[in-house]
Amino acid sequence: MSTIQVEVQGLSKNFFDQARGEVNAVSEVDFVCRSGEIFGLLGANGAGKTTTLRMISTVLQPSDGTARVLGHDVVREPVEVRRNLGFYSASTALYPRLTARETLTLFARVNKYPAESTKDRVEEMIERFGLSEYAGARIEKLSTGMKQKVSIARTVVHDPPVLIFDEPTVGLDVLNALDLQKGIQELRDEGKTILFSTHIMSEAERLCDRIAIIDKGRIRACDGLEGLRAATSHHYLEDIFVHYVTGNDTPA
Amino acid sequence: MDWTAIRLLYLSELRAALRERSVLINGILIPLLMYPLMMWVMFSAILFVTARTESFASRVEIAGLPAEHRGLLERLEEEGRIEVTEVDVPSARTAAAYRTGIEERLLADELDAALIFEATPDGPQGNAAVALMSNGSSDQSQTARGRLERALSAERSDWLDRIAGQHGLEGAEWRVFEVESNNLATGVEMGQFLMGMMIPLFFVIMIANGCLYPAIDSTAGERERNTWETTSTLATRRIHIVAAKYLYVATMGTVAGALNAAAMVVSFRSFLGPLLARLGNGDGSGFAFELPLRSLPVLLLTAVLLGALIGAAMMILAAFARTFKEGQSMVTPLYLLVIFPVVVLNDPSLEFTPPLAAIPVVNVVLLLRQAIAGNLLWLQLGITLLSNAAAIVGCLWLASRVLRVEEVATGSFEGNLFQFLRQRLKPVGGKA
Amino acid sequence: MNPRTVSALVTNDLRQLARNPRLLVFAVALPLVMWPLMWYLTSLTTERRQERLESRTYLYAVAENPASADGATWLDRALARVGDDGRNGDDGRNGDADPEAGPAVLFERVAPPDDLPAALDDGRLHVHLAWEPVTEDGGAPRAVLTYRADLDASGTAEGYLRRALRSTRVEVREQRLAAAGFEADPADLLPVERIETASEEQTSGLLLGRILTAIIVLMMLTGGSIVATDALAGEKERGTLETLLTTAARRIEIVTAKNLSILSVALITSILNIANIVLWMQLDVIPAPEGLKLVIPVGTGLLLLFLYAPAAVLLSSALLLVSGRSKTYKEAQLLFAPVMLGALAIAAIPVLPGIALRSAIVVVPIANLGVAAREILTGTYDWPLLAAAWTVTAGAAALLARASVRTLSAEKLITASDTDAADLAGGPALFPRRVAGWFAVLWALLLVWQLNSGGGIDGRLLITINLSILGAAAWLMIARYRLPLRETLSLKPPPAAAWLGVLIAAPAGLVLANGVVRLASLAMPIPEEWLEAMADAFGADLPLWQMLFFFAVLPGIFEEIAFRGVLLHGLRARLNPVPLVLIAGIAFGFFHVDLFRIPPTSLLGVFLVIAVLRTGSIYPAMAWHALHNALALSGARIEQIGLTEEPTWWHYALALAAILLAFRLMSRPKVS
Repeated sequence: MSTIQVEVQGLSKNFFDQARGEVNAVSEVDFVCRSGEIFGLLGANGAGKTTTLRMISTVLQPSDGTARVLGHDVVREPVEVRRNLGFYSASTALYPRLTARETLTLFARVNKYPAESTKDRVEEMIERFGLSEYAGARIEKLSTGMKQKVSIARTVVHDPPVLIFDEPTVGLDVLNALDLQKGIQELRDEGKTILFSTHIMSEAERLCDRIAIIDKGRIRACDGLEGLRAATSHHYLEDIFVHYVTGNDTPA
Repeated sequence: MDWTAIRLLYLSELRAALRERSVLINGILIPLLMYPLMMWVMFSAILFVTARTESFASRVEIAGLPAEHRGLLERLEEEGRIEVTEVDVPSARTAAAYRTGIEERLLADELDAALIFEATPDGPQGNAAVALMSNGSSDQSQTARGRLERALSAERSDWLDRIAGQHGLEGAEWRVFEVESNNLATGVEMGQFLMGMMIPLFFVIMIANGCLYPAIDSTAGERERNTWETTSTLATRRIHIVAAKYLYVATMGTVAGALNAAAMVVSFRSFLGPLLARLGNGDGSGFAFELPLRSLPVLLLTAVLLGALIGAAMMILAAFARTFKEGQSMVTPLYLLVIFPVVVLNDPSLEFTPPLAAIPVVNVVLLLRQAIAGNLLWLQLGITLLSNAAAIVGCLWLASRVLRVEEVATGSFEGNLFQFLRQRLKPVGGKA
Repeated sequence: MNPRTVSALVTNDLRQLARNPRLLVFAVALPLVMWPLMWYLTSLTTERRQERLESRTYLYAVAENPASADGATWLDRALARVGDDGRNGDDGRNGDADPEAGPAVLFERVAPPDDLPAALDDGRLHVHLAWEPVTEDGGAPRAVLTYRADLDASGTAEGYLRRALRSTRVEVREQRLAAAGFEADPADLLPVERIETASEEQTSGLLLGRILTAIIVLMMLTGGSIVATDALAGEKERGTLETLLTTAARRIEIVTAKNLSILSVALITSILNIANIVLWMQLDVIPAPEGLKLVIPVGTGLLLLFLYAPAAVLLSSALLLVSGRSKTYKEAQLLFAPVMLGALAIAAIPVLPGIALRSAIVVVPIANLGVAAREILTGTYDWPLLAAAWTVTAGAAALLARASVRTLSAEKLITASDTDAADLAGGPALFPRRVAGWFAVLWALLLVWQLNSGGGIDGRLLITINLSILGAAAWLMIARYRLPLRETLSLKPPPAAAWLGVLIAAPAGLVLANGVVRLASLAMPIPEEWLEAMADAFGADLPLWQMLFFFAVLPGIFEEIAFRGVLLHGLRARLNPVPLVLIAGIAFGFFHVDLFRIPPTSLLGVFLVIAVLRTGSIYPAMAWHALHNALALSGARIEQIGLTEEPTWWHYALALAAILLAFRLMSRPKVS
């Protein structure tokens, strides 16, 4: 039986922007994610996906509402939340002058992975992500694909039950992207809870068990693909998305 | 040469520079404000220190002052705030204990200095051996010691006059002759001397400073921002793009130098002038800070020369960098190299000989020094122009060679200028 | 805080640094070469100049009509000794010179030129001597040396010749005195023996103490800034900071780790640099400053190390703050220059003569430790004040560290725009964030002004200027942030009972202030001169009405507007009542700069803040303040401050009760 791992209620974030004044980047977002599922946030650029995920990862403070990860509140227990969380995005870079092995060790230690098993865990990760050949090379020397593998290994090295992937495939070529998607699915199959954001329909369609369509900071719909299809009588996610975002249907 | 393209690019570089904070600060703000500010701080600090030292009340104890030297007390009063306690001469038996007591009080900061007169059999009536006790670890005590020393020395010379009088030596016979100094230099000339010592040094540093950011920003910075490729695709030859950038760097250096010279003259007038007047020991030669008109063309000319030279050299070095940070570390040694001779040249006795005029940068400092003092040495000026021009041409030649290499131009070359020279120029040099 | 996390982060930082050869060259190698080389070159230049001046031949000329027959003889004697005196002294007493050895500097006589100024100008002649005849009765002939001070050779030649002539004159006098029958050697008249009571260490300690802090600050900053730029700004630019922020590391752990990295690198580079310079000095390649003895006893060294520790943390936190505030590496670099200059200016304060730790300086972070170090090196150990200085700097370091934790709050980091609600709205909403900065600047201004204006200035003028600075600043803030006047300054009628409260409170407050002074004087005794100086400053010689006007009425109005008006208004929005009362009150105390006045004025400040908060009006506070000052002044005038008859404990208890009663009377009627 899957349990609720992430619980978001009425989560809101207001920014102040010099040009636009007050901006409601995220307004009253509610959803839950269960273990062993990939929950997708689908939205255009600037829809509020990243802001929502950053609030769950405690990098941003919510203006209103709550979010809990394994029952830990993001405002009151940020450290506990982050400990149970792996956050991956295109903008979370790696230290160029560390080797892959050092990077993994660092993040295991900083994320408070038990000291005695850190070493084994790091080797396990190196093995699992196929990094053995270049585990001793500095990251600055690695290719984009290799860097990305190290990045994912970095995200899961402390064995967090919840993983957040914020537009992970941005800037990757097709093969690398597919590789990444496969990795995410494997993690799901191990029972991790995965929050995944994207603006690419096919990606959401293939990966996500449930999809939340987010637009202008609000969730317009949240269901499995079949549920969405049934609710909108559209087949393609693209059409479903347009349906919710623009409010009127375009011919399929 | 496609001058229209160069002009357009040059202007766009300049416009961008004026919107870039670091260029503005290093090229304009610092040259303009730094030295006036520094001088103001120095000025206030010196005034503060002198006022404070003057205001120290010296607590002084004088033991056994002979009747012949009562005049010492008046002299002490002239020295400033001083509180004298007089005590009788300690007897031979208690003298040692008395000194120990004084010593303790000096160290406990209850007393600033003490004079102990002990009569000696040598010499005329009233002669005494004087012990001047003070505490070198206290500022107040050192001030008190200075005051006592001056008063004592005056009293001593006064006493010698009195003794001479008693021996019938008076008037011209005792005074022998007076020594008088007659300084023919006017205040303006003195001011020019001081300015000549300082302005050229800061001038060079400021030009280097002014070139530094633009040189890095327009090469390595462009690469970092990925605008280099955009610029490279413009419909003009690469050499024109580089020429425009070079002109811009040289302009920034020149402007920084000129602004700095102006700011220096102003701050000399408003801070150093009053300071010297206040601290002046009354020899009457007030300093006046005016640049001779004939030095202005030299100043401008050298600003242009140095801007062009330092700018070119820096750009060559920075051309190998792919990030701003890298550029900085490649250029900094040159910056230091420019500053070192400037430190060595801080010597007024150095004459500006024609051989010295052949060394770039150094010659500019010496030439300017002479020019500020109102001297135009035409031979040296000529040599200076030639040597700097030659150096500029050399730099530009090197730059054109460097840029002809695809890898450097696109930024894929790994390494710096020296590694490049080792790799590329050796076979060429071998052939020649 | 988890030491394991911190150590992992520090290791990470240091490992990356060690793998950055370019950074290492700049942070470590370059200064190691630069400093000694600069020093060496400077001393080389000085030496070479000295040599050049001594080895050249100076051209002199003598006017042709010698008015004094002896002139030629005297000149010969002077030329025989020219240069013997080197550059020491003007009195011409120089026992070491060997008359047989000939002159130390070469002087060559040339024919007197027709056009003297031109000859001097183009270097055909360096100095011209003319014997002026006796002009007055009993006068002596004069040797007039004509030269150009702005030409190096001419100025030097004149100096040599002038000193040689002076010592010739002394010699001639002594001979004439002996010939007239004076038996003693004039050198034996009033011989002075200089006795130095301070030990060599203490004397050298004064010298070292003046510059030590500045050197340490400079080294810490140059070494530390290279890591610091990379620490937050660099990580931001590379995107690794966001990675770090999504880990389970606490913000405080990250900041601590960064601070430790900066500190360790700064420490290592400082040690390397100092050892390097000392080494070159030992090898005699670069000259050590005269009178500097570089031996510090182990105990003193450890004490100094302990003393400088908070200063080091303060500096590294400041660097980190700058780095955290900047969005890019370049921006951080640009911001370091002002930090560096500011820190150096503060660290240079021990250079100023006669500044004792037992003064207002104890409240200035870093400077207080510098002055403390100077005192320790000269053998003075003022323990309570050492502790105070240490605490002040440590407190400032903690505040800065907290501020740098706040820069990690990701809003700014990620929205990439510094502006938030208040910045955007500007005006009143922004003011609470800026008020502390404003008052900090104001305080610095007043501090500088007070330090510079000690003594010699009319007390009336002093206080008027102080108050106008405060008034002008208050006005500026109100205008700049468009603050609503009535609310800002609490311009409301108070409850009537409040006036009665003021009448009770003012004398009681004065008694309590006296108690605080006595308490404080247990830790730092008030010097007698200070009390006298105070009496002078408050215009003890003025007519009573003037005194009351300048020192009671004016402060009552202007200080209240600035502190209980603008400052309180600004702080109110961000603080809870208890910290608000304490901070606003103590800030007021600190504006009285003088160390001994801070405790009682802080207490008064606290009372006045309470008065404003309870009545909702500034008027009772103004009245109280004016009345307080008036009572204090007339009390002082009547019996030179009531120190003759000290209040006893029940006076204080009574006063406390009276104050509490007064505060009750001041309570605002409940709004229904």
